[in-house]
Amino acid sequence: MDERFTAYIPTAGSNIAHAEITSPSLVKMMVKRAKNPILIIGENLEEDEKEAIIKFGEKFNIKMIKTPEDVNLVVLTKLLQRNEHDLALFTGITYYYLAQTITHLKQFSNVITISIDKYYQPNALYSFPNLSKDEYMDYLNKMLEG
Amino acid sequence: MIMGNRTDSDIKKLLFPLIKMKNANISMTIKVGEDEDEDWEPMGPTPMPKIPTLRHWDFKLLERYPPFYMPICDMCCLCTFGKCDLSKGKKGACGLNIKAQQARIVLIACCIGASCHAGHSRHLVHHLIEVLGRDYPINLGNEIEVEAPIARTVTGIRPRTLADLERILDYCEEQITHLLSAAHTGQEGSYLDFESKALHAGMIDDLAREAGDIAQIVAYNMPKGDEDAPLIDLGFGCIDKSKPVILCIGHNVVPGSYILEYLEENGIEDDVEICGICCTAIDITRVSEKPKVVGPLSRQLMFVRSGVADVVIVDEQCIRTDILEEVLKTGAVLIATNEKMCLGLEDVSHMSEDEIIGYLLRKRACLILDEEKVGKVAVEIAKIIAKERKDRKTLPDLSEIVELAKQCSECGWCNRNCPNTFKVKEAMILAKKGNFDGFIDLYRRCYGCGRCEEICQRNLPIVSMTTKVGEAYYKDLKFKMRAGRGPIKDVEIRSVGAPIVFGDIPGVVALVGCSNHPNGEEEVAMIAKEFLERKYIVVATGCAAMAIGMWKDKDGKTLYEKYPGEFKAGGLVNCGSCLSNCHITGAAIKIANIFAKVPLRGNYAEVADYILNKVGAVGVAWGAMSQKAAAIATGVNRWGIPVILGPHGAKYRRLYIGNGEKFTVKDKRTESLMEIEPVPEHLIITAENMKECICMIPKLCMRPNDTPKGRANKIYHYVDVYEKYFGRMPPDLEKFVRTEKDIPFMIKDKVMSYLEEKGWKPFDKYPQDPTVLY
Ligand code: SF4
Ligand code: SF4
Ligand code: SF4
Repeated sequence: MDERFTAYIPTAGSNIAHAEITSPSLVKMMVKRAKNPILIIGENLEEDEKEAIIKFGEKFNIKMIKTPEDVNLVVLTKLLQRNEHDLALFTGITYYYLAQTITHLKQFSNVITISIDKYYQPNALYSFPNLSKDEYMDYLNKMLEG
Repeated sequence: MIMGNRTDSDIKKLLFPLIKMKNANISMTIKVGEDEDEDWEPMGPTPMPKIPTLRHWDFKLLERYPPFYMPICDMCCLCTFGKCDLSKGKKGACGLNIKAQQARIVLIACCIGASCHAGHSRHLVHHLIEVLGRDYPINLGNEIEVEAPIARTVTGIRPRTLADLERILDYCEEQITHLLSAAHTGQEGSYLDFESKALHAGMIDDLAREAGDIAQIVAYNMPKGDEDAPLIDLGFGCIDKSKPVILCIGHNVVPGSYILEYLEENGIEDDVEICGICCTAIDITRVSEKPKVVGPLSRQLMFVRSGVADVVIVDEQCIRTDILEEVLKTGAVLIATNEKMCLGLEDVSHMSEDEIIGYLLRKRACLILDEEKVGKVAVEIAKIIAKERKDRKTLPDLSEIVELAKQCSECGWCNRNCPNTFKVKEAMILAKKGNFDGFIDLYRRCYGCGRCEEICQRNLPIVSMTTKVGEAYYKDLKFKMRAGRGPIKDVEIRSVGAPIVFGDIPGVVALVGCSNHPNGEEEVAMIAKEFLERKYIVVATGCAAMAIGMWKDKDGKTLYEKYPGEFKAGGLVNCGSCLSNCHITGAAIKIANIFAKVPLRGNYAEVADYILNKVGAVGVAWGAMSQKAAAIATGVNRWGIPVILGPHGAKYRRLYIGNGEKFTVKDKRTESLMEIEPVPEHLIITAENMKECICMIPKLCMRPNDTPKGRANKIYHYVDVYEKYFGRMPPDLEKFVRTEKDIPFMIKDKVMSYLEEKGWKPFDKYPQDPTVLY
């Protein structure tokens, strides 16, 4: 039960538009359609989750960036705002930190943002719903199918 | 004697105790006030700057570090035209857009912070003038000639007496009024101008803090730049519960000092335990070595719940607003002492001390605005209450915790509602079986906000449970911290000026601010430790200074015991409370002045330009929480010093981030403009975790003025921390290496091959004397 929770972070939910819930197949579709997608991977993933995410990135040939190792999340957000990437996927980032940072893109860019974390992330444009660990692995495996 | 037990033989020593000075106006031979004509330095271009006076400087900074906004909410709800949806480029009914609205909120936050410090300083100065007279001299001893670097630079005043501090505060208040009024509907419309105003508010905040800290240093004979300021006791474990315990919470030293004075006058210093939380704690230990510091803000609710205190004195700032309710629950007595926090209590200031004691015995809480009376009342009531509360238990014991945990329905709302999503539910599940590991871990990290408790459907007293487990399992909650030493001495500046400016000392790291830490206090100590070992100068104030003390090595030593208190490479300097943050910027200003002879008087932009280009300092506010912290950081930024915030700092909504592109400066030697590497890269930025913060510090200490040897030193640490924490080379290293001479000898091969991979080209030239004022 607890694995499904979203932290109650007021900063995450006080905007007018909240993320639409999306599914693995829709995410795959969006990635395929995107001209220049980017996958941003934080440090809070478990090993098996991380493996699946990286496989997904490789399979769809998405540019992958690790934060904060490769670049600070806010600096990255600022780069994304230049609209070189039309689609940005996020996972494994400290929940409230991403929630706050990503509002920048929501207001000041046309980048389509998708949270593929196991928590619902209202400040993205699309997000997975809250998932338990098993459900999340299931979602990630579905992303690798087909 | 409490206030005269340290350092030099200033006149005050002859005049104390404070209490006896009441109403006795002393006239000094020292020339008083109004010294504008006096020729201590020719007046610079911008004394007492108004809002637009330094706008040109702000715009230089904002061009290089454009504001980056992360709106918390995309509505504006400030007026009745609205509320207005400002999302995605929409304008409000007044015409305001979202960037300007975010900048406006930052300005309001900075004004709140600045007025909080100005109000505090005004209260101090006003009180001290009443007691000591307007002519009371400001003398920080022979080793500190530049007594007020911020006031000199900003206002052009060299404060000689308390009356001069009054003049400085008059200026601060006038500016805050103009600044805050600009936030009214239908005023400023440009986000850049809102930012310039926020920077102005930050500068005023810095100035107001300096006035306040100088006033308390001279009036209470606090250490005057004393690197051997005493090591004082810190932590829950050092409080002697067998005595009546008085706890002071907040930021204002005045009531606490009267308590110390009363104890001393009656020769009962050892009969009553005085302790404090937050800045009052630090400041009363600057008055006397006797009081103990419980810990930072984050330990407030826990300590009050522990029921150790018999009397709680609250003054101003950073106090839990439900403190009255919490104190009364423990059977203790609460005394509010400040107009800014009256808590709905009856003002009994007009009563005699004995009457107040009688009143308190009946009503358990009151407001006393005559701080002098607090001394006797607090002590005498503590003695009575301590007897009455002798065997009172306020925390559940361990077996009760197990029973309480069994009531937990495992709904998980506590985790969900915790700002850090700490694992409270898991701690409950373990505790049901008598296993306290979850709570033990929670105790280390939790900052006692109580949000988990607030939401718990079973009304479990989670913070009390955590506190009890902490008390039971952390046997060694006794630490040492150095009492706040105040300013940096001129001679220290003389000896570190050159190595800092040329880069031989790789940087000055200032750990400041509140305790909204993502993972508990220990991280602050770990950051300090990392850079002390690397021979940076580490400076601390406020709750961060306490957090640094709350870690010990294998031999049971804290960093304060391991490292000297001098402002030198490998020194750990605790300046004091949040007011004392002014001495950190003060040190940077003094480097410009004492080492490089940049005139200070009314010469803000030139001094800030010097600091931006030449003084490798960085502020870290790992747990920045309050509006005061917003004002402090923004003030520090205007001086050209970068600041790193913890991840919660993203909720301040605005950062100043470089574009990752080259910067332009003018070389004063050749008068030519040139592109340089982006240093310092950002002006204010967040880091997601401690590793990232540590890796940013060496980078943000780089300055265009570094000599090749100095830059190599800085690059060495940058590479070394990156390898230590991420196991790789820094991904942007190529940006910061100007020529091969910038590459540290020890790692030359490694760095060269990495740079070649990146297609790095050396710079043709770089500036010898960089400036952005062109
Ligand atoms: S101040 Fe302006 S944006 Fe805000 S509610 Fe009023 S009209 Fe709307
Ligand atoms: S009291 Fe501690 S555990 Fe509870 S919500 Fe606050 S930080 Fe989280
Ligand atoms: S909110 Fe209360 S009942 Fe629910 S899991 Fe947490 S402690 Fe248990």
